Amino acid sequence: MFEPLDPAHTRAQGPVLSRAKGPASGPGSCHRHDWPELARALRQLLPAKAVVTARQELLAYDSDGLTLERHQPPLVVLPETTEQVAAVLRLCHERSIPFVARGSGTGLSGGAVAEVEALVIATSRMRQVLSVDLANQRITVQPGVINSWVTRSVVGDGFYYAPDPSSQQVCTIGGNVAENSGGVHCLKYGVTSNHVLAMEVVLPDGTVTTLGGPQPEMAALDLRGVFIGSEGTLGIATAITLRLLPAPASVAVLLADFASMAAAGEAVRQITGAGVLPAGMEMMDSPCIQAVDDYFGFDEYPREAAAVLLIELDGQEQEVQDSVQLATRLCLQAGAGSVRQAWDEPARARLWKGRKSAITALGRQSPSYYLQDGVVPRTALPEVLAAIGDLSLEHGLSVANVFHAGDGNLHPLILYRASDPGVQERVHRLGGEILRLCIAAGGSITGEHGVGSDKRCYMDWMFTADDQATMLLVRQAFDPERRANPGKIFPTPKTCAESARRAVELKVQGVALPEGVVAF
Amino acid sequence: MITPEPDALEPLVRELHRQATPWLPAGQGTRLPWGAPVAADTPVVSCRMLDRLLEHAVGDFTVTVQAGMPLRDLQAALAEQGQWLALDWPWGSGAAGQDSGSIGGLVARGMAAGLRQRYLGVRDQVIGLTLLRADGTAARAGGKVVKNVAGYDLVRLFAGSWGSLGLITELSLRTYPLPRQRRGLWLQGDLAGLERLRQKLLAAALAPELVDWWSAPLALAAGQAPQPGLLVSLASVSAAAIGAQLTEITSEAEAAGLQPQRLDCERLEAFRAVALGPGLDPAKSQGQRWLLRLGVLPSQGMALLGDPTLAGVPGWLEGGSGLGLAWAPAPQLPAYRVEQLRRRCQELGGALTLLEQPPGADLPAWEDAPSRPLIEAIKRQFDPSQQLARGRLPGVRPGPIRSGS
Repeated sequence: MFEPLDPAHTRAQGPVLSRAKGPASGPGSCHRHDWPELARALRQLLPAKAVVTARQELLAYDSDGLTLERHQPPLVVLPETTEQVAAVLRLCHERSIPFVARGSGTGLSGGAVAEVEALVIATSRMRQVLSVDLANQRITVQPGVINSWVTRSVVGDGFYYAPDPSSQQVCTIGGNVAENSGGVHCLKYGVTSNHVLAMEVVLPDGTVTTLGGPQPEMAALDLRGVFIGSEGTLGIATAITLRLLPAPASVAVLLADFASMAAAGEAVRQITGAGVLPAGMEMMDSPCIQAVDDYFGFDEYPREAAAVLLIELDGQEQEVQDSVQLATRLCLQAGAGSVRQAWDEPARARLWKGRKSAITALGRQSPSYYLQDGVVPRTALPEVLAAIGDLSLEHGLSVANVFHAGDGNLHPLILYRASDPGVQERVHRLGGEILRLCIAAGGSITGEHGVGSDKRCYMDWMFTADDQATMLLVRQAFDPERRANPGKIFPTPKTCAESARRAVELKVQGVALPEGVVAF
Repeated sequence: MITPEPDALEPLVRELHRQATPWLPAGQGTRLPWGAPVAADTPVVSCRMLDRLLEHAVGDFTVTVQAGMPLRDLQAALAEQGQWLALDWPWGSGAAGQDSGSIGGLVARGMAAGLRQRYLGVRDQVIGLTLLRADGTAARAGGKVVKNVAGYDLVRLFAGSWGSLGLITELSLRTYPLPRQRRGLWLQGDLAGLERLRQKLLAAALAPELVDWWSAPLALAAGQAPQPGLLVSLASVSAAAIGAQLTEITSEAEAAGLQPQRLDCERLEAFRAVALGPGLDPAKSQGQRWLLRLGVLPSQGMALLGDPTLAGVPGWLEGGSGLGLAWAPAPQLPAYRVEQLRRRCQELGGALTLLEQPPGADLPAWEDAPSRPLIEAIKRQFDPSQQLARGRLPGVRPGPIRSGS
């Protein structure tokens, strides 16, 4: 009989397949690791300056872009090479130490934060471009390379890297891989997962392997695809090969204002239905428009408009011209008050400026905000936005909306004053109810920010226990001890009261909970 | 082949699991022998009775279907709404897609073709799926929206898993509006000139839908001169844009000494039908055929096409990705030459996968991937009793088949 899983072979491959040893090494218990001793051991593996122990310096790693919760890690290392990452992870493996990989810390779901005692492995010194292969339109970089540097290093040759999250001047490619980041232009060009060919990955036991390869399809299970977006829970990517695209020959931007969100939604429907695929399509609602106008000190957008729609079109010059004409006509047909067109770079930047300043402008009005991320089918946008408006009134919290209209990815900003008593809980409750709307409309709890720690308690709104247990089979293969970014993505009874309640309900109903899911 | 009614599928899988019976997950079952061989007596469980279109969200450009739905029926239903799945017919489909098999099969093989140049691959188009695990557990991953990062991306794990991890029962996919305008171009001449044009086309302002290298024997099969060529397809909302792009490429091609031929939609389709090969009918090939998945670095496509190991073999290669297909009757291509071709693909930065091979050739369908131990660990988690597609695990070099397994 043919036996595909030859035991001799698997043994020869080293510790990657070894089972969890000894007692459960789950994180969470107090002082279970001797951090000063670990720091000494790490200094044997890394240059002294790469091991951060000073309290003052550790503070810089206590949160990501989601600042509602802060946890200062006990220890941070700053490796520079794959070998160093592998050595650190081997040490963690030997000592059952959990770890959290971290890029620039711009994430918005609490993913790069050590909530429990864990070693933080920051990639901020892994900033080499390893190779550029223009003949094959690809580039290989270390994970700490900043997103916008990739384009900068090839733009002179007429190429660029398409995924462009709004933090692209600061965020790292490693972080983009962990979160499967999108951006304004992912409507036409896709998200990170569509642009990664291969990755060198250090697994939680310190083994170095390669996922993906030189072709976009390999005769192998697509572990590259499942690793991307796994939020640091399967290992650490130490070299990433990205596809490069030729820079578009021509770009134009349209800005249209509408008296109702429904009319703006109709314009989006008409444009995409006509076969025009914009590079990006962004929308802002009335609170955003007014905040931007106040911030600028003049009416950049018609103050009374209920929505403005920004459309970027790119490609061959004639095609862009025809698409601009068609999109302009369709916007006016849908009831646009006016449509502005911009062709040259300064004019385009002007139209984008309001959108790019929106969050800053809203920040001026309100000392704190919580940026939510949810997805609905594009056609459900107007009704979901109206329902968000109702929820905003009900909860007594202002909500402003900036979002990617082309793919239905909403970004409601809940505005609040941190000094108001009990406000954080109200913000969380409203945030959760917005996600319920998204799910009810057939959407998702996150389009690009990830689940992290922020949304793990909503996972079982979207996925059944069996769905999550099936996902966790992957975790079991990569990281049987669950030491990589512990506690993220999947709900635990400790973190999610709701999930714990559901576990009790299910047990009462006599449902056998599958092994692997911590609790539901 | 067992073709259970939808309600009977899950109980059947649970029963097979209870008995630890090996089985092969399948859709319409049109391409069961492709890839690494499974034991000849392995029962096939087909989801062909799961053939309904569940929801076409026209305005959202998404569709949700049962996995056994014939690809041709799905494309026809979408076309009624002016949309399509931007995916090539799989090899052997025939010009009208009559032998294209199921959408589930296409995803399980995970192989795209030339249209990847503009629309990316099969795995990039699937936004959600439902699967049955070996133990009969049903699970869902992804969703019905085009943007979604909640949880692990099992969609990609299952696309190209060849039935080794479970049976795909339902799929949600992205759709596109049918292109308003489409024109083709056929270029022939010396390889170096074609290579320069390939580079120009990949960087062209109007991104082509498809830029495929054709080998000389395939050109001959299409009634053209027996020399390599490039087939190009351009699509746009703007006829003027296509016209301008065609004029530019044509003049560059003429300056490079190539012979460009403009193709209207009909002729372009006729060319593309030739690239689908002589068909699947086993009576015609009598199983005595090679069907080879080629892969090289894109910049090495020219080198592969000019290589003596590929002489006389019809085939094509995507200009942008370096992936392609070649096929030949067994007597025309001895096994040692296929092994040479495999080495050549490896030297050129790629790999060779055998989709079909004549009986007795006994070449491994694919080689070990660098992540083999991890692939095996995944397999053990999803299918601990080794029931599914036994012997066919992508990324793990198959061993020799022994009878009676």
